[in-house]
Amino acid sequence: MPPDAPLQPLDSLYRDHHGWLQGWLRQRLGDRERAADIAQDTFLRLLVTRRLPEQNDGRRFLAQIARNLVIDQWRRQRIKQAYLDSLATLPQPESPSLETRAIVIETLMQIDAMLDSMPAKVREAFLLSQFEGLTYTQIAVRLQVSVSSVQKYMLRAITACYQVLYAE
Amino acid sequence: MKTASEAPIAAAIVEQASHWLMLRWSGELDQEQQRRFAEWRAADPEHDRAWQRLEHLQSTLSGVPADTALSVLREQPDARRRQTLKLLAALLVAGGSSYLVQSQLPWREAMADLRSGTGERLQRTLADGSRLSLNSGSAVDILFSASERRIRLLTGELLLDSGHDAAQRPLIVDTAAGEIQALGTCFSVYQQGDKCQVDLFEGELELRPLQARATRLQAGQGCWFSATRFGDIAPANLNAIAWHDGRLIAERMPLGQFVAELARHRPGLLRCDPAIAAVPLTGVFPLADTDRVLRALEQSLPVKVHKLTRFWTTISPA
Repeated sequence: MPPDAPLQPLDSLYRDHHGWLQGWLRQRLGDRERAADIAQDTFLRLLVTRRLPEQNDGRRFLAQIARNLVIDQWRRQRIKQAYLDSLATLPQPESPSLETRAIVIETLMQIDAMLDSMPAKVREAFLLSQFEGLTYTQIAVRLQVSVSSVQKYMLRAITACYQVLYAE
Repeated sequence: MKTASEAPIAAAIVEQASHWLMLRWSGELDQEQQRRFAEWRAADPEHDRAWQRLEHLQSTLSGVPADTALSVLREQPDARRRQTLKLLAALLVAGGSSYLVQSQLPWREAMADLRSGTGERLQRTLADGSRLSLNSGSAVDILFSASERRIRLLTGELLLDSGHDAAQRPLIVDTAAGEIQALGTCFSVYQQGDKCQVDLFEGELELRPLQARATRLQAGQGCWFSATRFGDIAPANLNAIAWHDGRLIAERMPLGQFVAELARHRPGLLRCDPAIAAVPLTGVFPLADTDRVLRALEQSLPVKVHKLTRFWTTISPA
């Protein structure tokens, strides 16, 4: 896409579908204000990424972006809560600074996105390897598969991680 | 404008770099492999750039203490998909009872690709010709790619009659307990908590629990499985998929089980007094009109149906 993508399609996209998108979100979220916010963020994202749908694909395209935004919001909220819960068990002096917390939450979001794009067994192998420090042989025993399967899972896991960090 | 470090890297090079990282993570790289890795990295600036990206990935992964990552991301291995966040319940729109049902949906299900409301049953023909039916209160994501056809069962029950895929991509149903790979089949999957009941009517299936060895089912067999184990293999229960035709079939079914089944097709609460839960029931009932089913119960069994509110019904001894 050229750097100066014509804004006209975005204008007409907004005119034609903004009302519909807001209604679609309201129906799913049951919250008028959040629906309005997310509809607005959806168009903002289009403006920033300069991605536009093909003709006649507008609604599906907008709904997909809006859906990802909603899911991201919930994920962030859930991860933040789980992280704060885990901190609550730490003794006071070890409690990280607000800045560190913000960075950890961002990183957790990224890792969560990676995990979410992996099939179940791949995710399991990846967690055991990276966060429980198991060797491939130990993982193979735990998952009752061969070591070469574990290698295959890990390769898929790395590919999934790469996609999350470097897609596009 | 994209800087050089942001420019895409050829897929083949990323693949090679990923392979090296996979070997390094195994912790079993011998000296010869170390040497070949160093050679590979030095052979081309693009190799080095790909490797730097993977080093960035490693630093991302180590940016969180392992126990934090595990407690936050892992405490319920697969729960992120089906976690019943009741957050939406706080967002009720006053007066709209249809919102009540919707607002209690966990977000994943609210935003699923295909979802059936309570009392609703859906049928769709997928891009590969497979016929997918959803029972009441079910949700799936449909993830078809060039290499596989994956259906993620987020909640509830599905019946899949798999079509013939020209590209011969594997067809996989993803559940909280593990994966189910179809080998040209017609089967149903019902997810209840961390267990999955699978009934196979045609063809063959491979069940792959998250943490147990895979096993195969033959046509006419059914069993449940969880992440770690399997139940006994039993004959597949055709009555269990009568919902597909909008019917509920009971053959000497305990009333408690029948009521739990019926409750899936009605908004609100439907409870059965434990005193009569064991009473056996036989019959074919229409799912489209659950009120009529309740009246039929009163006529054929010694029970009384109490409607406390529109959304709260109990069944007790007459």
